[in-house]
Amino acid sequence: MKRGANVALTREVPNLRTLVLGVQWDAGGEAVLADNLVMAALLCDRSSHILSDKHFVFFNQLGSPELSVQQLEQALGNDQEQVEVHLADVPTEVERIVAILYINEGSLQRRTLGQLRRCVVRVLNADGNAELVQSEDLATGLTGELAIALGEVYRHTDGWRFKVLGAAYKSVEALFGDYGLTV
Amino acid sequence: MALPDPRTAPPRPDLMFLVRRSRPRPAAPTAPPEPISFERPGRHHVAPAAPTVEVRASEPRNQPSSSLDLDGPSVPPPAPAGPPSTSLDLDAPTSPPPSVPSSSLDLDLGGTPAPPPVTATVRTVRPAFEDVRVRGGERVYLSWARPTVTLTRLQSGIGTLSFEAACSAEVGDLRLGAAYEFSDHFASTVQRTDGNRFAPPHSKRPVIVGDRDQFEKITVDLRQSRNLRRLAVYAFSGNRTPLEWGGTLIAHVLGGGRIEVPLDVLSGGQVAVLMSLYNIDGEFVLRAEMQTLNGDVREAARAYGYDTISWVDDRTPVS
Repeated sequence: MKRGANVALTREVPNLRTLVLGVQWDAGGEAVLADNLVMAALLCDRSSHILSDKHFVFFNQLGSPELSVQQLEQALGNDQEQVEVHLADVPTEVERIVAILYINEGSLQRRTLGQLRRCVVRVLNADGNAELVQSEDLATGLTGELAIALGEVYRHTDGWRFKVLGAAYKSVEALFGDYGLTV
Repeated sequence: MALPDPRTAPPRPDLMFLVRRSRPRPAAPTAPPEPISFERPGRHHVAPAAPTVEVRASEPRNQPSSSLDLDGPSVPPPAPAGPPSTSLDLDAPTSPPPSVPSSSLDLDLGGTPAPPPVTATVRTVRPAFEDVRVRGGERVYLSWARPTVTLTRLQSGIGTLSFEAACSAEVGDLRLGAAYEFSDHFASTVQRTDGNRFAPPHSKRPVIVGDRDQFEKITVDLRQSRNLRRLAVYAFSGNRTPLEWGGTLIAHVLGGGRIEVPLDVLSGGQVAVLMSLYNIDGEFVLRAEMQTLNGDVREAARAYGYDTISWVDDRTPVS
């Protein structure tokens, strides 16, 4: 799937109850880059604003307050990180679940997403782990960015859909600002 | 390649914490300071018109629909999220209060009119301890009366957390260091001079770094925050001449928030423990200690429970 493309998940797979958002990346030999990459899920309203800072799911906050999204510490398959979404338990105020990837700027050595060789987001059916869709290589075109919105699962009149975003930002703060997250 | 079933993933002991965090907050919060808003620059990649593509049908479409079909708006809404009424709800009853029989301590001599009806009041149940928080761009001053501040899980897990001793030359040769303990119980100290600059020692990916820009500084890499159990930031004299305590210890957090502790309230001692950090289920709790001690770094570390560190001398741990 290319940037901007979407797919009607629950219309195509009516028995889809739990999906997994998985991210695969290849940092090549850049150990510093690989060590500082973080995947997170943002639980947002209809206007793509995060509901609160407690709806930011990442390694230091592994579940949303409703426990409907869980980030798995043990990456599964070929994914570096995954977020599991139990669709029936997602509260009605959560309209969009956005998967992002950013570089934590805590290291002495600065790295950028432009050094990624490959970056793909995909959707799995947790029941059987069948891959439903996979994005194009989102690392293409990245240069000096530090954060990227990879894709989003969102409600639609015909059920849940998935859309590839591929929107990159110069800083994680810029991405936070776009999703209304204040800290 | 068949992927492992996520349902067999390791257990999640952290979920109890998350249940705790879902408790409703106390009503009628005081007006918080306005948090900073990050700029909203445009995205670099403008998403084109969204074409609809077909899913790779890895699931049979003719599978019988179950009663849990989640398609479309037929998804049942979750249970209302409103807080349940508690047993401490003292709302006024709809029926009049029952008459109270006269007790043996009733000193009413009779003949007086009945006492006014008891008016039920709503009592707000306050938690025993309320965390002090710091928002982006906000300054929080810690004092003896209000010594602690709790960082959120985002402030404890994104970017860096740094402690900086903003002091003039009049203070003397003030140096900053920190005793630390990791989640694997390894403990040592980190400081730019007379010790290990990195924690763990000689690490290529240090969790903590003793550094200096304009002032002495301790920096924590929050990508590795889950490895850190606790930390105690201390100040000492680099040239061993007594310090004229002054200046401010500043902790810089995500989003521009600052936590400040004045150092001019200190007196005496050769070393002072300025601030402690405890990792409580992913939230960093910072506490102004402001304790001067006689001795050196070794005594300061021991006084705060870092008693598993072996020492070369009074300020250099065995690495």
